[in-house]
Amino acid sequence: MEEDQEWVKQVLGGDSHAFAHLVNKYKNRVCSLLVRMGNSPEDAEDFAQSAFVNAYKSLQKYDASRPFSAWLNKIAINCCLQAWRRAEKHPSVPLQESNTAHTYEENPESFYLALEKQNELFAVMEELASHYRIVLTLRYFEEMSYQEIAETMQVPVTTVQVHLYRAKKKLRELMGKRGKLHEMC
Amino acid sequence: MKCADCVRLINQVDRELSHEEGRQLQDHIAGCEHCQSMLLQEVDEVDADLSKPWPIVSASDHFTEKVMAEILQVEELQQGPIRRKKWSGSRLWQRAGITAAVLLLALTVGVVSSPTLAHYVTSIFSESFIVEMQRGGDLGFSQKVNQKVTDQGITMLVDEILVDPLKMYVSIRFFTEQNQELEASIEFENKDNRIFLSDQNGKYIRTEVQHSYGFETLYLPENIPNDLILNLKVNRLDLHNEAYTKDEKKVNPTYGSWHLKVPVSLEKSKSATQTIPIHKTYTSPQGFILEADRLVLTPMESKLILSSKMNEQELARMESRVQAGVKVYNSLYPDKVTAQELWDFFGTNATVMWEIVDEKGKVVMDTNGADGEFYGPIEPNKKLTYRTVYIEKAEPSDLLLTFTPADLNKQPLTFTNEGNTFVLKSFRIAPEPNPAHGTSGYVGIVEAEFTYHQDSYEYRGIDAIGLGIVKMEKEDRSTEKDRPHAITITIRDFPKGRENQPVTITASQLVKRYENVDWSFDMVSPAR
Repeated sequence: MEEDQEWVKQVLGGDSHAFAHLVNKYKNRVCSLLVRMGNSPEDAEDFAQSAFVNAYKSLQKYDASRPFSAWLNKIAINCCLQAWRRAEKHPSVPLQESNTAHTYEENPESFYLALEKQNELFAVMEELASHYRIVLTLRYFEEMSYQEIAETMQVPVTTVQVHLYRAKKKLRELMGKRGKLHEMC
Repeated sequence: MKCADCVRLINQVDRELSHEEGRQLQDHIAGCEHCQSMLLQEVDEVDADLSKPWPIVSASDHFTEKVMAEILQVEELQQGPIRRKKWSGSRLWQRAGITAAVLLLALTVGVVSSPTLAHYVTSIFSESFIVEMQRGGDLGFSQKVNQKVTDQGITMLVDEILVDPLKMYVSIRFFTEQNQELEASIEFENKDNRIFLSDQNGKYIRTEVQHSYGFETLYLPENIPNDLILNLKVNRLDLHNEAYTKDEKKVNPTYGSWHLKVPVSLEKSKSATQTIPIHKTYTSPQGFILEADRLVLTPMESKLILSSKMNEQELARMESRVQAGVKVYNSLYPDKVTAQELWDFFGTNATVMWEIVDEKGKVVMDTNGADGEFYGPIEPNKKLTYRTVYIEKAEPSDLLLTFTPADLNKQPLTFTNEGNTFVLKSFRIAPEPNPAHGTSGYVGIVEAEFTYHQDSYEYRGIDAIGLGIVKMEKEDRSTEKDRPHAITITIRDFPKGRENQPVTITASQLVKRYENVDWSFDMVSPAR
């Protein structure tokens, strides 16, 4: 975090190139968030690019006592939600796994098994309505609190809780339908 | 709102909450512990899986550049025409000269600064998520090239090359006349395009070429000269249509002539490379000849050059396995295979898993499934010991388990294959929990006991002829290999009534893993 603040300071001090460090550091994270929200990798990159540019433009407003990543993610989510609202459509493209960067600390075999299992879950997530995917992404990928999700999505906290509850219920149903739940055990 | 109404609303997963419903739910849940706890109940497998770290999707290679190009444009517009600069290209790296110069000065006078900034302005390879590329870029082993050639309104640019005595990474990019970068690829496995190395006299140097991670990678042979020419002869470009869909990627072949000769020097990376000669050979009891040639420590990576082949005896045994495999396969399937096809598939080399440990027994380098490569420095003047962990080799299988399922319940059947014993003990039909459309809706389940030979690791490509997919649920047999292990064989899409007709199960491969390989030797890491 201190490193981020240092770069922010450099940018605000007139060295716009220093912003590239922040882009480098967070680009994969932001793109992942946007892909998980249901965007195609191409759209995710476009939204991520807008998010970084918007973050750069409004860097003066950034509160340095809070994590830069959380602030940036909020901008990225807003970029995406605004674009969806403008287009009045919700994405339904399949999530792409081919370009994922993973690391494994255990043995490769168990890593790939876990990965396969998780990929199945993500495959099933494709079938969820977009508002379900968003709450799951914000809750589990972004690890946002119910309150933060509610603020981001501009809905009551209860709606977030209900969406999360329903999203997981639907996920279980879909997993069951695909006959994958029992294989995962 | 009552609890029952609340629960009903919450569980209607296929419709969205109206604003009014949301408000009513909020009012109710705020004062109802029961409904609150139902909503927050999160502990189950789905929740556990969701709570694991999610995979990270990589942004495209030039994402940072694109963002910075837009940011710098915004900057210029805000600063007005007087300070506006005209950049020749869209690359941040080309525009970062001033920052780099300032940084260099800052480092010289000892001001604390992030070392990554220096590298970031030095090389595109520093940005790579491939550790060896990143290290090579960071350590300054990348060579700026910036050679270009234009034809058909398209410019081919070779901007940077990263090279060590084992590998060469080449970055090739394409631009329009308006300096817009094109999404294009070059296929080198066809007659139109070539990428190859020659020495300064034009003598061809044989290399293996791979396209990976947005770069062309050339694997270099031993004793390669310091001064090389990279020859690029591109006559066909595949331009990617931006409007492609995920399923159908549109590629427009464009013909022209983009030829470049790029001088490359290995001098710097060669002088930073150390080689520990090994030249040791070993023949395993199973007939695999292992040759450890050298350990090469380059600026980018360390690699043990180790190869394997079969001796005459093992080749002869393999030939008999190939013949047996051909016979069984051709007796069961309409599409026939030849012995040559099987030889081509299985090859004559083996997978060798090894590790190199230091004096304390700490593993400093191992195969780790990465084809003998590892990434990480080795301390100088240390005694290192190479140890073979195991040799693994897949060979054609002639497994044939032919039985009448219903009869197994009266009399178990015993089969043997390559020292492995299979006892099929019982059979039952069970409903498929989630049958696919057009399938029987049932699975056939054989309960069995397998006793594997100590060298047998697993059968692969298991098939029940004319029936559905076969799955074997195995116990962990990592210990006590020679005792019988309970196995459940599940045959998917098993038609009811079929249990009274013979069933044949076969496997295309038997993987053998030889763990009793006792080969180790010592070496000393070079003084740095």
